[in-house]
Amino acid sequence: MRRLKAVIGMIGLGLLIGAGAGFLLGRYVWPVRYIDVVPAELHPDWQAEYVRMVALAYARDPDLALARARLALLGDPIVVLQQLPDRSPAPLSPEARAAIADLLHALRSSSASESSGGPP
Amino acid sequence: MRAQQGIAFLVGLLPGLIGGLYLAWEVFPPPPGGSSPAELAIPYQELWIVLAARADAVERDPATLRRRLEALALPDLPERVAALAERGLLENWPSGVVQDLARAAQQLGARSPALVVILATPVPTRVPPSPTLIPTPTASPTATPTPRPSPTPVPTWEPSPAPLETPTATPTRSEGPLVEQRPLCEGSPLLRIRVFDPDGKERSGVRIWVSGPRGTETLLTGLKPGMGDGYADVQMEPQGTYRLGIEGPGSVLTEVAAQPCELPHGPGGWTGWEVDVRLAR
Repeated sequence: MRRLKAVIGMIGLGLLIGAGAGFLLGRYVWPVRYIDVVPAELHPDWQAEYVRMVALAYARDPDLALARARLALLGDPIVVLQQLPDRSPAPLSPEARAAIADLLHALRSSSASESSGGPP
Repeated sequence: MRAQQGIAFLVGLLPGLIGGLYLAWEVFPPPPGGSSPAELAIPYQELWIVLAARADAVERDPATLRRRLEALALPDLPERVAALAERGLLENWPSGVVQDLARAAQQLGARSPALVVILATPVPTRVPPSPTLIPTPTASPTATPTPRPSPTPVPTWEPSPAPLETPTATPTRSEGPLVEQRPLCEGSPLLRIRVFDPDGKERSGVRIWVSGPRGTETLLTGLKPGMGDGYADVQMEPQGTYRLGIEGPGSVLTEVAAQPCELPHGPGGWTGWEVDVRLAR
């Protein structure tokens, strides 16, 4: 009887240690890798990089609708742009800073005119 | 006794490990939001490449370009960027985008004749013509009534009447390219286009739009090695009618069709065409 208890105890101990080790391995050594993600699922640093590139692309070709659609992949375009300086891991280049300011200004003007100039 | 306990421990350890992995992967997976660009879906990876190329055209920082694109972890990155530039060219993306992509590919070390041609092609400042190549009705120069000089009495003191410059209706449109086309009877009809500059030298990097039964294709002269700098061709379908236009101001449109014809030896064939275009000055 005592032997049986010891065996069951060892099985239980093995289960516990195995589950703990398996969880740690699955979380940190071989973590789940998401594939075919959308930009909103990028790491915040990469999201900031994405926003910066969208603003620079807008500086290259001022197509506001296109820039808005690209930013909308991350959420509200104006909010996304406003948050960029806080989220950006690397210092922004002068070109990027100017591009972001321009795009933000264009988006704000556009949304202001939409809200005031709509049909009654 | 000790051996039995060891075996019992192992018996518990194995399902424990499996259960732990299951918990980590399926039950409590880490929340999404920590992915890298390498995990983006293919269309978003392509968007990432386009954005990186566009951004580099403003920032001009090769290290940043490389860092952004290497985040995609593509094994054949330069070739992928070059392929995207070529795809953009064929799908009539804006020239600026195609050129930025080509420049980025070149910075990454990609080399191909198409890249050279894309980078050598000046970016048009106007919107490229519609790929459907349906000619839009343009206001043709109409002959405006020329005011004829009425016979007025010439003062006698004038030594000789100065030659009157009669106002003539001059066409406002500049002279377009000259097109010369020759049919060829062949088994498998081909539309061969050769573009020359005003001095008669073959010109590479000219975009040609060919609209036929399969839709509209974009060709670029000079991409067929050994065929000449101004050469491009497209396979014709029997009975197919093809319109072609050349990008640039005063774009030329001509129409050819693959009609049945008699081959000198053998069964009937179809008319292929050789079209020479001499660009206007």
